[in-house]
Amino acid sequence: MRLLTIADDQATAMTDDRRQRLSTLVDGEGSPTELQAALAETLLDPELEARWERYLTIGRVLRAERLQPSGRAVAARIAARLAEEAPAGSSGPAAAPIPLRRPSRRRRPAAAGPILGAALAAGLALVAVVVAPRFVDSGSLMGPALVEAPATLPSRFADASEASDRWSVGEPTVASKLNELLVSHRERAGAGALSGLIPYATVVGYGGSR
Amino acid sequence: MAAPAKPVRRTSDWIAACLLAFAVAPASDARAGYADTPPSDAGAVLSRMAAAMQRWEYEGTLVYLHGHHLTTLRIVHRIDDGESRESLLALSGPIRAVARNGRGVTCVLPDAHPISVEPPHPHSGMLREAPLDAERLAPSYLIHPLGDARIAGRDADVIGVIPRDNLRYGYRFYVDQATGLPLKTDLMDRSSTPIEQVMFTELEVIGEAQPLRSAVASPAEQPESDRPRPKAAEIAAETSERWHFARLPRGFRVVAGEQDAKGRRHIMISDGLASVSVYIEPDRGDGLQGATRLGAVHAAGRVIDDHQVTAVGEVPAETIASILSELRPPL
Repeated sequence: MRLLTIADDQATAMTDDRRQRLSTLVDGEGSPTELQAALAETLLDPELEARWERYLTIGRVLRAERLQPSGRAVAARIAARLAEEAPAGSSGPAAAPIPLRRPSRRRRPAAAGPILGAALAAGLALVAVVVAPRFVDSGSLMGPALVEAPATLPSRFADASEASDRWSVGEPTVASKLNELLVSHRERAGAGALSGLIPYATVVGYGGSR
Repeated sequence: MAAPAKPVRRTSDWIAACLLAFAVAPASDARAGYADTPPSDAGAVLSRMAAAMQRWEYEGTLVYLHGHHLTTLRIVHRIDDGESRESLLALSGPIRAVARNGRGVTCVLPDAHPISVEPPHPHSGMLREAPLDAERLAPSYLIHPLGDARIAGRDADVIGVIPRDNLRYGYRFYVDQATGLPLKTDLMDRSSTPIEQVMFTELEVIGEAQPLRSAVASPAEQPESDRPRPKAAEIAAETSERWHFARLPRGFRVVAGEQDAKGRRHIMISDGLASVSVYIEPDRGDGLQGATRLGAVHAAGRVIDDHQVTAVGEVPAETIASILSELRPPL
């Protein structure tokens, strides 16, 4: 909570619930259930997600931990890639130093689907880089440290070479296209009797442990 | 012109055998006895299940099983003023996650290219919130209660949706008696062998969603006659002026169509439960050629008239191939 007090440089008031959600994520002291709830709310709130990322970075600075610019570059590259509609596999921006302060986020109209999608995707990617180790390694939320190579995605993405070809087509661009079509199909068809995200269990679940 | 896949007509003896096979689950978690509940109640249980997904806030842990692939997932579902906010996160293996709210869905998969999809247009006729129509399903499926079971510490009614031919998969739903939520779902092939299974190992029901502040009901709550959906015949007629199908497998029909801002056409085909999406876009050399699968999902693609066409759906490979083979370019 002291970290939030020090780092909260914005005049906007935060409700106690939102502060608690962020505290859960920043401190990493919640149960998996609490963490999941905090995660879900943060990912769907661009303002909360931006604030969370700032707190994580500030925390690392205060603890004199090595800053890994590629961590933010992951999210920024994904967002830029979505905006530019770059072909799959093309190289994104170089891992240049990223300023600690993000540009202020404007309230986006509800119709700005792609922009919201980019923010949500960047948030999910950030989750994959920062949060997932807590689920898998049972370590603290703030570690383990990100991979050293600034120009590559974290190892949790790179090690998924087998899973990245879940369609077994041998071509990453074709596989990516199929993933996009499958998500589109799922979003429009549901699963007959099932709505919600349970029908996405195949999309998310396939490619797990053998 | 390739002939569509011919359905293998099953005899009443085969249907009876399937009922028995569906009732005796490999995990032996469905207890015998289904004579007490009339078949008509099975449809009511499924309708209750469809409504429950939008009625309850919940979170829990799921296990997804396909062949030798086992994944643990964490799901969270919240409803705020009638709008669902939900997330699904893989807890094992490479990073995979999906999150959705009223403005769309975003998915992060191992190839690190996030996918964002906006919800379908309210008048596109897309199926996402359409309830099951037992009358529509009757020619293609037999819906039958299969007893009860206990999943994640909760009592459940087991309902079998048994295909009458080999053009579609069957399902076995384990529906929570207290809330109507699906505690387990088995996708079955024509030999009644589970292809995929999704099961809650732990479920916490937070509570019921608050009533909508506005008077407008969700599409799933509107009577069928009131829903502003294009009629199938109108869709079919419009489609025939553009891309169309010479014929479709028995029970399947075109139910919706739309075109996105990039000019990609999307045609939805369904038998009322199973669905197949056909995507048509200018050929850029990056489309699927041939057939493949991901779990129980099959996909097939080819180039027709300088257009990449791709079919994706939870149906057998033969059905996907048949649908794609009957696609014709504009007259």
